[in-house]
Amino acid sequence: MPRIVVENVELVHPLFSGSNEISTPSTESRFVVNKAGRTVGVRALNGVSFELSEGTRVGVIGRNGSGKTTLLRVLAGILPPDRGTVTLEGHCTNLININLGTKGDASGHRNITLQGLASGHSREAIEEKRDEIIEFSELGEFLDFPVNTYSAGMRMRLSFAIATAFKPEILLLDEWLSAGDVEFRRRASERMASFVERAGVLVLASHSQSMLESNCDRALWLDHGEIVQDGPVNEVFSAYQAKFGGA
Amino acid sequence: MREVWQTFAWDEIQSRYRRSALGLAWIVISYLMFVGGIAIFFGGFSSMSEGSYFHYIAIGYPAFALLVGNLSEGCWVFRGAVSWIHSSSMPYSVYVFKSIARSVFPFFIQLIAALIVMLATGWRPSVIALLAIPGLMLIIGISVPLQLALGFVGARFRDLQHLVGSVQRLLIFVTPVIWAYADTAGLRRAFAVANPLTHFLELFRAPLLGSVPPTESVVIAAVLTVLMWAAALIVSSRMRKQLPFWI
Repeated sequence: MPRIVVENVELVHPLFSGSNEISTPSTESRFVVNKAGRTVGVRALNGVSFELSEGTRVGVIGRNGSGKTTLLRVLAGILPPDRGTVTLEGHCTNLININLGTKGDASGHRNITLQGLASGHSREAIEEKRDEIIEFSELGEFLDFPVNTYSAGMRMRLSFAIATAFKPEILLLDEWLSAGDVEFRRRASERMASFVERAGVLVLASHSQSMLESNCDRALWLDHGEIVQDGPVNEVFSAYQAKFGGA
Repeated sequence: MREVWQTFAWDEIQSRYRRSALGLAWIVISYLMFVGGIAIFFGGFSSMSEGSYFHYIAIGYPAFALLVGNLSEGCWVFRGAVSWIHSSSMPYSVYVFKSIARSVFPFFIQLIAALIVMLATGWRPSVIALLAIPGLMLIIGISVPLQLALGFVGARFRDLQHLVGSVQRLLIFVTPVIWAYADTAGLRRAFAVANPLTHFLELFRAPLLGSVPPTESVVIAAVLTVLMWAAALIVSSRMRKQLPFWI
């Protein structure tokens, strides 16, 4: 059964600023300062704990730089946490940045193969899903052309189609999804709904209230790398809006 | 995982020659141009007969290019894969295998071209030639840890690629590729013996030219391979966690 357990995760994002630069020692507690007084990193996640069981659809909200993407990367196993543990049960697919993990000079079809292999599927499984991906992406003959020639919306449809075709048990999506047009968002929402019916776990980072409310039942509010509130999506969103104004 | 790096390597080979009219034939053309040119201009400086000098360079050059290619490719092995490392939790070794597969492919094409041209110019293999197989395995056996270590160190210390680039240009002169090991004495000989490339090259080239590789080369190459593996494992255990932040 798909499940995510995150216990007391801490992650320091190292900062590089050419070795000879002198940075002023920071008084802000988010910055991690070494013995010589130089700022060496920023605490991107601090004491983050939560548990997501099967069928959970959780939205992650927070201002820019609050640690949403870092949290998704930790969940995806791309960044190992400095402290704490992340336990993932189930096959996990992430769509954190649509431009990552695509080969621009290869055709759409080729990208289906490469991305499928990279997320651990066999060639047979990829061929089995190809028609479904072609159908959802609505790219048709464009799939024979390099991905570089696609518009942002076309890339989005292709990446989303590939990521969801293999019926992942855990799906991690970053806020780029909100950039799609109405039609894409509607179809994406439908697909996410059917995904959650299969008792998968969905983690969706977004600034869009409608996106979150139509796809999630629970929300995590992150600020400065810490969880401010964890609860039903409506409650968390109202508290967030009360603090930072309209969405 | 094997399918992943093989497919990625093949895709990169294709994309390098995509949209060029002669495509993969360029591998053979540029190889024959180089080897032919060197044989014409430098053949006279060697004590070898014209035919055997040509065979010497025809076999030696592809192996040298394979060995030395590890240096520059190694520095880029992770930095060039940044888009995948930031989006997928594949083990980092996949990128190393991909990189090596991508260089081994042109090597074999050049080797086949070399053997055909050499057969046409009077070269006949003996049973000893089979010893080139373990020689090649040792070359690949050191390529893996070499690229792994350079990949991590090169991602952290950006000066490395410039250093490697500067050294690499000299290597063709310092290594017995266009001049014969046997012709040298004194200081030049000492340099050749101290150069690890000499020994790996000998292991592959000597058998194909009909002689058993010198014992000292076998011992030095084997010891260096073991040491390189140890170094690579230490580097990777210390640096793997930070890699996504560095690239």
